[in-house]
Amino acid sequence: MKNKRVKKVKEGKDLFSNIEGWELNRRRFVKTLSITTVLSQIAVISSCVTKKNKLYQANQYVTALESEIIQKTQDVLFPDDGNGPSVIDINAYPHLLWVLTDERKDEESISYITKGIGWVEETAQENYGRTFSDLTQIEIEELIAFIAEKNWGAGWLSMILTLIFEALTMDPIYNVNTNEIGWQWLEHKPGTPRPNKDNSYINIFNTINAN
Amino acid sequence: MQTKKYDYCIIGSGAGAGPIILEMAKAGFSVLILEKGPWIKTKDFSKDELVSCRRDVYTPSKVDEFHVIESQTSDGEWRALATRDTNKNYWNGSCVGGSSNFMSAYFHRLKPNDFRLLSEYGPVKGANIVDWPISYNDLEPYYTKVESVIGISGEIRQHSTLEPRSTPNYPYPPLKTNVVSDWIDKAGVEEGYQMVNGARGILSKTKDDRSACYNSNYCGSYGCSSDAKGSSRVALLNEALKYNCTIIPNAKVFHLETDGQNNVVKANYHLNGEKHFIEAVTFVVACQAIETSRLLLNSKNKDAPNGLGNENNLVGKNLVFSAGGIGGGNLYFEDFSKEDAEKIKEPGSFVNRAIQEWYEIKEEDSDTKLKGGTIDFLFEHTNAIPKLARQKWNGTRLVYGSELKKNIHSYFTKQRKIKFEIFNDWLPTDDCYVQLDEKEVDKWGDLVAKVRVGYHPHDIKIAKYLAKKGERILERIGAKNISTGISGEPSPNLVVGGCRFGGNPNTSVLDKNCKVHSNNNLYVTDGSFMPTGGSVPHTWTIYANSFRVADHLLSNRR
Repeated sequence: MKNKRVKKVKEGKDLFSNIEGWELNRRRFVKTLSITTVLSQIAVISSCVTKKNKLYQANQYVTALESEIIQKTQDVLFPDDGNGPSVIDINAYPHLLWVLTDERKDEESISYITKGIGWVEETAQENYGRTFSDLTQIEIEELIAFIAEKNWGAGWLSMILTLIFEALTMDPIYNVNTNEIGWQWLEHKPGTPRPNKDNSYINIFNTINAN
Repeated sequence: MQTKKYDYCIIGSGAGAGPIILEMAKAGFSVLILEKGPWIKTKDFSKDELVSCRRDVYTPSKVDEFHVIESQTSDGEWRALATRDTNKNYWNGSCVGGSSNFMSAYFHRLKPNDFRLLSEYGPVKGANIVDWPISYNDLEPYYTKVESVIGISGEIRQHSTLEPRSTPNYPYPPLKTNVVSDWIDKAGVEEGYQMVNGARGILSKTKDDRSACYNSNYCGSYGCSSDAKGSSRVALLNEALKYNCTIIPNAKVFHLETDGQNNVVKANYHLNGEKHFIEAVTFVVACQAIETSRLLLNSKNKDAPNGLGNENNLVGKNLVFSAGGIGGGNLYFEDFSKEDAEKIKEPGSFVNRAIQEWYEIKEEDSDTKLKGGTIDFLFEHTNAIPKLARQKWNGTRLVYGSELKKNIHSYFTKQRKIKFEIFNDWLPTDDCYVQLDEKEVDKWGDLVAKVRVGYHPHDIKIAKYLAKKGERILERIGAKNISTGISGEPSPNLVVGGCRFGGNPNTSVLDKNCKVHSNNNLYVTDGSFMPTGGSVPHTWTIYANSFRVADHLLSNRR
């Protein structure tokens, strides 16, 4: 099975071998309306996650198991260890869902994210004979460490980390970096002017098309 | 269907197009601009990393429009990969004003010896070096014109390779700099070097309806929100639009039609899913080097079966990038006084220092001289994601968890990275060129450009020499962990050539006024004309040459 996985990645674009190269730049200058809609839906999920703290619910984008794998993996990669914000503080999970629904992103990039979630479950079954949901916290950490040593795994985890970085430092207009918590932790000064509703990614294409 | 015949049809709207557009419009000619990208206006720009860098809103989808890049593998084989399938992107800003909207605007003139590379330094085996058909003196008045029209800030200091100037100084004073600039100056003096106060194509004072730089903290790769940055859009096109000038955005020209008598008569373009055409007396192509060659090659017809201007199979040949590399080191705040550390942290201030001491290198124990280059000093870009990303890997080991968080916090709060960029000649060779791919097409069905990106080993030798000098300055100012990366990897944002100009139609595509030799009314005015690229960024020269060609066109029309 693992050889198969390696082969899959090698046959792919290898887009995620390094962060600099991972590109979410698939855009068409139309098809923009749904982004606003999706963002508002994800805001509800975000609120739910924050309030109920890691409630691994299915939604229209992922299954309950996928939700749990994403969130627990994010927590291992960027733990709530007292040093800076947690993935919940920065809305990393809703951000990942938003990325999955970005119509301008190429299908192969989306597919890579979702396939990786499946590979994590597959490896849990292989290594522990149980579903990811039944693993203890220690076993999950062992599993992530195991995966991180594989080329396919390191590439996928690196990509998940990139999305965490986006949630940590993107403008709060995107429902991430809540109350600028990421910027404050890193003492980061963003450029000015910051995006507004018209020129942010949510509406920029409508704005440009209207020119 | 368009039936009006314009005086000028300009294809593209960036640095190579803007000067001609403005000058022709001001002279009373009707000018029509066909720009492939959308019209993004100043109000549409913000310092949003997601829009500008993470999602690349300002360049086309690589699924819809891509390049095929041929690189040499370690075993010497050439391997072609579509950028659609890789992490490379050869677009640099596809919108009204082109990539000039997003430039860092490090502006340097070429020097007299850049126009006489072959005569001054002799041939290099394997390189197609030639002299230019014009001299520095021919271009000097236009460099000066760019200083005032585009708006260049800086301060002239005497140094060993300062090019001759017709004016004593730049029209705009230097931009606000960081304390590190003073330290670099001091370090240079201690090493015995004459430091250059680097010019920028950015206003330090208000000019007409353009505001001065407000030190936004995010500059290169981002559109400017005060119009201080001298893009073609704000410095030239906005003015041109006050005259008889029209822009059609989202208009992708796919074919130039000729009349069988060496005249272009129509530019055929796609817009909103339909094909249109424009008729004009004179056509100017300025789509940036790769796309310009692609358009000429795609414009083949029964009279020009190899493409326009390509009778000698020279279109696309001798493409050049900027050779060099990047070095850097960390300024750890704990190594400086509290006061100095706060100054280092100051957001938005520039470094704007360069060394051109080795623009010409004299080899030790020899009379041999080599063409050298420029070292520009700058801070690491302040946007967050690339800085975070660099903390993810320790060699091939993925770093995550508390270790990663600790590293990230330390990188952001305990230091600031100072860098240098090296610019030296990317020698033209037979292994760096544009052709049409045999089968890959863009979303309109037009063959895409296939670009071979081979480099000459001499480029690496020079860059390594310069890197050592840059590293020495960083040591002097107290930087730690100094390292340099030199490679033959091209910088897609620094590309010229492909339609070199020259006096001989058998060895060049364009004449010295950038008209296609074999055509009566077709000009190319982006960086394609450059037979060699010099050892500086190209933008100032592209602007200047376009003003020069504009003067030629005006004198012809009169």
